[in-house]
Amino acid sequence: MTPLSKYEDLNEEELMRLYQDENDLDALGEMAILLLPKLASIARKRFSDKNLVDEAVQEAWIKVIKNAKSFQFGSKVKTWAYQIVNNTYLDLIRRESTRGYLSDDLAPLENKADNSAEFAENSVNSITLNAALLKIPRDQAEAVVLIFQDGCTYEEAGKILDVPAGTVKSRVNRAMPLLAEILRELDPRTWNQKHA
Amino acid sequence: MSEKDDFVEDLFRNLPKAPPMSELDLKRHEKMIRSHIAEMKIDQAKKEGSIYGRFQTQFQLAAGFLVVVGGISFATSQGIFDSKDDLVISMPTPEKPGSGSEAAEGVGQENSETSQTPKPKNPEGVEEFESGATNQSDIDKFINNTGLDYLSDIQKAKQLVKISSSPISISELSQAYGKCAIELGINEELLGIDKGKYDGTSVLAFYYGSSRSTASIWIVEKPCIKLENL
Repeated sequence: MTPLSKYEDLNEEELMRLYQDENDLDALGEMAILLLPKLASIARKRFSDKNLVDEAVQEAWIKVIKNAKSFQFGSKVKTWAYQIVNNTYLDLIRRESTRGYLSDDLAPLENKADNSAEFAENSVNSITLNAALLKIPRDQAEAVVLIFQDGCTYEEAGKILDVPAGTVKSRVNRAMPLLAEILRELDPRTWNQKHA
Repeated sequence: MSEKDDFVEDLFRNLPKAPPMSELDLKRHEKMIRSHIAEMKIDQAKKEGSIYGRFQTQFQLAAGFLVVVGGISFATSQGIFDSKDDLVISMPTPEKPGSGSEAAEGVGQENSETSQTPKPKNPEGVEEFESGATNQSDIDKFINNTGLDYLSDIQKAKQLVKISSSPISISELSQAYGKCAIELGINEELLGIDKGKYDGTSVLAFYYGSSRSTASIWIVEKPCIKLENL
């Protein structure tokens, strides 16, 4: 599907402006479509499971559409969308944890271990880390994920979180010992391997 | 950050990542977004149309009531109803050809035929109700259900589908069809609709144009996602 020709040369900000000023729903749709590759790229850094990536992307564009009216010009639409994905990510892992994947989904992961022990270990690590992220304050979790999972600089993360880079750094510094402690409780095996 | 926290950082950095989203998946999301926007448009149109629609229905009811009451009182004043038996409608007599004959003729026809032809002599009310019923059955003729695949059987579909020789009124269509015609921008030149398929997917084909010979077709997937313009 190609963009509707009227909007072909417009960027996210211009499309957002059209939607906010003229209630142009097609412009809103085109803006969400324009953001799709970005949303998908962030989501794949956060999840190893293709289905979860798909779910995260869908949830993110729904939120983009739903919240577009409240977007404030002054920041970039992409940064704003990043914030949305960030929130969606933490919501999703919380929801996944209540679906019981921390226990039930370990079985399929163990099966995968037959093919790739490394993959299985990383997947278990992923699940454990996600569980740990839910146990620390949300602002700290957001900062940690942006810095270590997405590879943002403190400045980039600061823009996304709308706080100074120094604040991001202090959130990360507070989060790390907490995470280490929680991980030690959740998965002593990993802790012991690293500190043998 | 202390050294003992470094493993947390390593864990994050070594997490497995999903493969990049395929073009096909991106297209699927694109399609879902367009469908979502189409639904929002319909909701918006409903909100805008609801006050008008309610007013229009109430106005029609009130107008109909007034016409019926007015017609009866007019007929009564002209002595058309037999005073001895209210249920019998007396036909106008040749002895009284005056001003009441036109109205009497109109009422008589309506009663005996429940006809489908409009009554030009009584354009204020009776025609309005009757023409609605007449047009509805006419419109139904142009809602086809060939089930043919427009990717492979378009010529056959064009032969089988019944379309109007002149644009049909979308106000006589179901709301979903009408809204979709508006979205497609063909509400002024809609000639007919066919329920069929496109590459195996259930679709609606909206035939439109100024005349039968120049008709084009919009293929849309429900609720109103544009797939192809033929």
